[in-house]
Amino acid sequence: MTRPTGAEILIRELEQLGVTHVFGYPGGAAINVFDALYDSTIELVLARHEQGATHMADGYARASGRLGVVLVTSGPGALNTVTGLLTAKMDSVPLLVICGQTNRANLGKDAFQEADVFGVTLPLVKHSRLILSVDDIAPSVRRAHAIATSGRPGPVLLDLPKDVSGQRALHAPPLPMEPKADAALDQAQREDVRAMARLLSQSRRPLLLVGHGAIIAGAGAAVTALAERLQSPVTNTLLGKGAFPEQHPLSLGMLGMHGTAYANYATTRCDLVLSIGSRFDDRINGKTDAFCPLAKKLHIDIDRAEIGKIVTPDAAVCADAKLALLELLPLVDPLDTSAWLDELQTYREAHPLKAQKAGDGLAAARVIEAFYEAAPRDAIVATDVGQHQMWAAQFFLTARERTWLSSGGAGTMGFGLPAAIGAQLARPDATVIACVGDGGFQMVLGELATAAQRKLPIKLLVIDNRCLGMVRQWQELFYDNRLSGVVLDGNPDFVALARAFGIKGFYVDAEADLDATVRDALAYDGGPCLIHASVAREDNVFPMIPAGCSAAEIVLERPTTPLPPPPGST
Amino acid sequence: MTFLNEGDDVHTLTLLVKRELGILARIALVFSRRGLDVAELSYAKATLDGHQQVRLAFQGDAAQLARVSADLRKLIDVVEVDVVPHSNLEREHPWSSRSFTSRMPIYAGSAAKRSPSSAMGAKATPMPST
Repeated sequence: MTRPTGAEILIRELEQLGVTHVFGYPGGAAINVFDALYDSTIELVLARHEQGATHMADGYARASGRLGVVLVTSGPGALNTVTGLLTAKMDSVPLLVICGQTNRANLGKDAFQEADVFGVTLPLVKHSRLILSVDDIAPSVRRAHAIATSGRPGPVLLDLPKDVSGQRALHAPPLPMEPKADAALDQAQREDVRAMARLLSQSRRPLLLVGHGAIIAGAGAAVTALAERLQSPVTNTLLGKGAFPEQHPLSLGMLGMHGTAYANYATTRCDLVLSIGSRFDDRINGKTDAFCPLAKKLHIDIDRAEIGKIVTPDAAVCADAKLALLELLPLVDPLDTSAWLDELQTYREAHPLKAQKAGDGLAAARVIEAFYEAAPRDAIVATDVGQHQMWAAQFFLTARERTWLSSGGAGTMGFGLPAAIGAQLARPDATVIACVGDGGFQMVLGELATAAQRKLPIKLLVIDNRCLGMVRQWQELFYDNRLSGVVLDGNPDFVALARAFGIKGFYVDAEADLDATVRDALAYDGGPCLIHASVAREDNVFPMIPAGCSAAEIVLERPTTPLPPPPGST
Repeated sequence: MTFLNEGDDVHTLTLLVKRELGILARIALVFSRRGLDVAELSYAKATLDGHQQVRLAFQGDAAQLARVSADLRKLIDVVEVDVVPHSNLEREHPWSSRSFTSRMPIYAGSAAKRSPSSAMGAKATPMPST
């Protein structure tokens, strides 16, 4: 029997770990690994750009909870994954990026397509390794998988020189799979939970704040059980959409910069806030000393570095959110929150979320609302970044975990379409809607070919306002409407563009045609389709808490006088 | 150019780390991304096989000390981070011309006394509150 090459060992290890798809783009330094893939059961998904491949693996991971794997070549190929690494790091997504590298003897000599990828990516990864020996491949892959998927997940990068992937191992039996240890809280963690339970029992106006950590931990059912037991209202971060059904009567929807008026109001009035896997970041907490000013702060997070980073908690548990909640549940009794819930209901009725029209034409929020009304409850929505993302967060309510995929921390334009492709491959039977803006879509539109080639039934909704709407909104509100670098005149005919890729296109620009178009697009079963929604240019996203301001400074509708530039940065 | 405030203290940290490619760069990045400057650094073999000990000093406030300590602990190849209490430091300014390594703590019997598992634990090292 021939001794296996490094590349063959790599692929064998990925197979053993249960990897089903690798998202990639080939090149000279990775050619050995692509050759080994030829004989593998793993499906290679050929993207049209390495950034697309990375976001696809990210979408695959977010939708499935499994490791997303990327395979690219050295130099420019590897560097094109950098934005995807940041995206995954910021949002705690388990990713393995394998990069070809020049031969060991060439390292540091500016060889063709050589880049110090290990060095460039150091601040963007949870961990990384430059593999210098064929014997190091199998243990490195195992360890990379364990690191990427355990604790607070994140991206791991392996840099693999071509002569190492081509080298034959002397002796490389497959590593035995290690059984997964049963996770349980230790004594100190249980004590921390008890301290939390004592504070909860004294609360009359509690607020549960659920973030991505709750979804990563699979804590959705435990969150619902806790909310119902306490009769506590629940708000979610952008990435926490799906941890608690937003249709639930106790749900206040999303909080923060573009969150609902009532969720933000609740933060100003609650006497206790329990964050479950959120990191109090500046989208939900513009002004830390004014965040939940009347509240005891409780924090559950698996990452110790997050506890006390932004908000100093009165009680904290550093643990997996699901384990912590299961420990907490039997320790708490129902609270008398009826007056609190009544107060929030009054506020909700006074300031409901509604699509606010400013410009002529179709309102983007209405288009998204129409999709929400017609789509199945478990549809997966992948968004890009900008106004459409915030409208989708507001109007496309999320019922289940892992059905809302959005670049939160990094705010990466171009994420939506490739993430939807990855999600559709992870969940072939799900309805997958990519909701993107005309700006972000044009950053990655080559990936239409990836979707078309595989006839993936993605519904690609392009919200086209012919400008970079979120920056335009800021320039209108805070910079005297001096529009600089935001007008996208010169957009293509998106339906014709879709046709060029062999993709079915729909067009809508009028409220009267909206429901029928949405119905037709959702029913279309001939592969991907693109819905070009031409919408008003001047609509803005409200509510809006200007960056760096407290929830009490919320702007509920278009102001009649100019606002000062916000103190926060973005 | 660093973002120092007058009156910021000099903090000294000791780290036990695995001897892996890039570990010094990873440590340095924890400081540079915050605009903090590492003023002194020593890196030497630890008594524990395959490990190195790092001692470094930087100037910053208590919150910055808490952040860099927490982020250093998150690095996969960092086993342990200790903040050296001020009283244990010699009275002179830490970046004097005296040999820095002469003040290296000795990890005597480090494997037994400082098991790697305690390094990730909550109570291993008191953290200054932010």
